[in-house]
Amino acid sequence: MLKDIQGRVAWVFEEENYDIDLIVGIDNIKITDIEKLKAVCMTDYDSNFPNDVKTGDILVGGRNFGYGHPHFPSFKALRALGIAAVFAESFSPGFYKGEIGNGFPLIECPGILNAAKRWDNLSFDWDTETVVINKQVSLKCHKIPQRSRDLIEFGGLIPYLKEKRLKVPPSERGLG
Amino acid sequence: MRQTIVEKILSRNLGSDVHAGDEALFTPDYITSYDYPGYIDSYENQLLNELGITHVRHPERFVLFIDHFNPAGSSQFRNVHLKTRNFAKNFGMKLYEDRGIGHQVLAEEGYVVPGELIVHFDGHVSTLGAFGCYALSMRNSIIEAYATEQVMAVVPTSIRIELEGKLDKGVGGRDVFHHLLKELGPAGCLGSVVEYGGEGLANLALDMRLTICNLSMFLGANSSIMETDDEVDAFLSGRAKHTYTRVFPDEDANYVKVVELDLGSVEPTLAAPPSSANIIPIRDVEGMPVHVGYLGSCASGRMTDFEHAYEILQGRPVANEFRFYGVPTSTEIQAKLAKTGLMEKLIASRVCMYYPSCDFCYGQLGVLADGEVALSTATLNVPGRMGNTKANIYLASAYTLAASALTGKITDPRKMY
Repeated sequence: MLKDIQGRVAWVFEEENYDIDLIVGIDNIKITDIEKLKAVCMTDYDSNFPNDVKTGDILVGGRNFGYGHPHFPSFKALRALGIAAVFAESFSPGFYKGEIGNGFPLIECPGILNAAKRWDNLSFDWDTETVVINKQVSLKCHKIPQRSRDLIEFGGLIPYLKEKRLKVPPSERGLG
Repeated sequence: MRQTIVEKILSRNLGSDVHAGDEALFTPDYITSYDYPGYIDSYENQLLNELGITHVRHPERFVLFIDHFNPAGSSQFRNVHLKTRNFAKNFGMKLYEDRGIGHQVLAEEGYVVPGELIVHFDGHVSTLGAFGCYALSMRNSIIEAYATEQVMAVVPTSIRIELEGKLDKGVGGRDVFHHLLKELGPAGCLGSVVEYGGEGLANLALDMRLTICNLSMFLGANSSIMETDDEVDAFLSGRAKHTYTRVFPDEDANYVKVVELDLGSVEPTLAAPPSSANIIPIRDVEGMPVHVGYLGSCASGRMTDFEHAYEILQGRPVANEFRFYGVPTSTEIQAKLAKTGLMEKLIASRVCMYYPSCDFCYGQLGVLADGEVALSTATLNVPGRMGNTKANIYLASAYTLAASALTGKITDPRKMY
């Protein structure tokens, strides 16, 4: 079962081609200590961000979110702070592959940038692939690939491989 | 329904017709990776300890490379290399070490032929699209390929770039890519494969095509792929491990868009900090002092790049206090530079010729001082890329690099003939 997504919009990244390394800042990209990463997360945008966010909050982004040469620390920090999903106009392919592999929901939702503002309440229905903002505005999202749904449902690559892929014998999946 | 090149490749791979948007399980011809802390060592750990996998069914489909932290500057990194060596040995996978950058060596060793599907964690594997294969970056999802030898993927849409004409003197492959990036924007090919073809393709040396394909991620692209021709056949002759046929799309294949590009309209440009997408014409920065040059990486550092540099240098020494690192992408290129005498000529022009390695590209070697400005033919110019967030990196062609090295200032190569 895919878990419901329901949370506050903790930030709206209005920039196109947003470089996610800026979430912790380029100077902090080599930090590995998760507490230190949490403490610097988003503070270039809002110094209270690490204190103000709570588990289940989500982020909203623009077109080609995750562009550039993304590193892991920014999303490690966001996940540790409880951020549960990102809804964006579209995602950069490299970033999408990396984070979906962690079982983290990234959902492409055309129109979200204009429709959502900070601290709005947002919910997502996996069956209809629809976002509802403040129980008023409804937006249809792009079709989510089955592999992405599976990765999110099973919680990342390793459980997905164990539960979904490796249980099928090689001969039955066309591997000679 | 008619097909693009990538639709044809994936249909053949699957054994039944697929089109953009279809999701299916594909079987890569090769699964490849380079050694870097947190990558192959993690895959080994995941296979053995989390998935309980002690062997792969087709070890001959795996090719690994030691090209980063090479030669190792500390035992910490050498220990990672030896762990990777041991992993390859235990799983029966081919490992190349001290041969150069994997994305190049994979082609030199004949693994790459038109029509194949190749997967890597790294995005610059798109370089190999110049050989008419679909080279897909999977990031950390590559563990899926290690564990199952298959990948679940959505067939990507394609954007067709129809090339015509030929480049002016002093204009390189990097400028062609920058021109497209300026025209289309960093989201201009979002999620699509950039498919190159047309009469102009024959006017681009294979090495320039490799540069263009290498950089496809900066168009937001899934990968790049090119039609193949005599030049590709000539490179593969005597190397190719498999027979192949040339790849072309069907005439009325379905594209997101078709873009015509007259190579004669391309001019020297630079990618200015802080992003590879920040393309500016050379006139905007002409005369700006530069301190360090780097010709190399998987985006450059091939014979044609060194030939372009020497076409400008012509035996003249680089400016005083300018450091110019020349790093051949592979030992095959290094040997060819030596054999043709070009190595000696470049050294006489005070180019510091180095051993093939990835290490200059990401700040492991030849790091920049505070406030220095580098001109590079490599992959990226994000802050800190060459080891210092207080330095600036501009990306340009080998022509522009050589012209600027002679004067110590950003210089239009067309003025140096």
